[in-house]
Amino acid sequence: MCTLLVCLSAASAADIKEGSIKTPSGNKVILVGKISFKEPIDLAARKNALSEPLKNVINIGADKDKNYYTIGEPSFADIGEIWELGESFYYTAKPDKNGIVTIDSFHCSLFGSPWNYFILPAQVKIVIPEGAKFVYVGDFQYDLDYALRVTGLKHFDEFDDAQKLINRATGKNVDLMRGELNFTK
Amino acid sequence: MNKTKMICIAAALAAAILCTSCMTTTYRAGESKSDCKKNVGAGTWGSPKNTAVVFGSEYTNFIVLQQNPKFGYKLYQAQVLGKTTSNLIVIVTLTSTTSMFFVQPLSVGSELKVYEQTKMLGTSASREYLGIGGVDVKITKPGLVYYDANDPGHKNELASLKAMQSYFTGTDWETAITNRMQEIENEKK
Repeated sequence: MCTLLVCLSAASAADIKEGSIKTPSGNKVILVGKISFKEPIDLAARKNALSEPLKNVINIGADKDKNYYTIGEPSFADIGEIWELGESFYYTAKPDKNGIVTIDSFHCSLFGSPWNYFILPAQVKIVIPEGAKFVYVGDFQYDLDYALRVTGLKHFDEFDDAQKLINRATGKNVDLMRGELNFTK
Repeated sequence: MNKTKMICIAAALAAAILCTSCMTTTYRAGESKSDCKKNVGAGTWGSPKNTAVVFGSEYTNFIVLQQNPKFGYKLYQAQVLGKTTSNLIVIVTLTSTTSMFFVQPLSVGSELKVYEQTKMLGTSASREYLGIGGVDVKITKPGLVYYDANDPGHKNELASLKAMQSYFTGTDWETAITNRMQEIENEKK
């Protein structure tokens, strides 16, 4: 019997359009950062296997060639903000009463399917500078093995590049401030 | 308990029995028994000398992802054989499932990630997608490998072997299955 599944996924644009990011309202902030991989994931070797289960699946708004990530675990009720792997993230967050935003993990999926996911632990608490609206959190570079298991994590500061990107994304010169990162593991 | 209460309970039980009908549905996913035997006979599927069969119970759908790039990333859907029994009691349907599964023989050195598993919960199917990161089963030697993450006590292993046996009649795997069944029977004594 043909299984028909409707997957709501990957509805947002992969490329951030110039001027598409707005200054967040209230006490919300936008975290700017990136995830990257020490060695590129061998997508060509996985493509046949992981595109196969999609034969009987209708993906609404998904691009089977695209690979995405979110911060935290997405839900079907609210897919939230997603970005293409290799591109920067612009994550709208609400700091807690102590002015801290926690990122537990990044949730990545390959070939436009939410079932083809793997999780990158982050375990980081970010202290938001007072008055900041745009906060830089850096590049999380993961070392993965052949089974997509994390074997290493390095954190890089590429502030100048991020400043250019957020200026382009907002369409204006914004005050990007560095967050203070505390890795809990 | 007074006499009136006992009469009421007895009447309720009698009514439940009268209103109960039993329906059993046998279902199967994957290739037919004859195709399984052909695959082994033709060498498309390996023998117990150089490959392993991962088998288990409970799930009505089970898919693993080969994670060792030496063999190529690939999804394998398990053969499934099971029975769904529905007891219709007045307007409530209770469904129970007995199921076994096995994955076609895979090479020693295979590293498998459970990609999807489905089981029946009452009348609903509970389907879990477990992702593509990591390894759940590493095949280190040829033969039979019981997947026991959902059955650490191996209480369903013997029943799974019995159900699986007929798929491998007349092949080297039948001997391996029979030997393992004998081992389990001996362990019980």
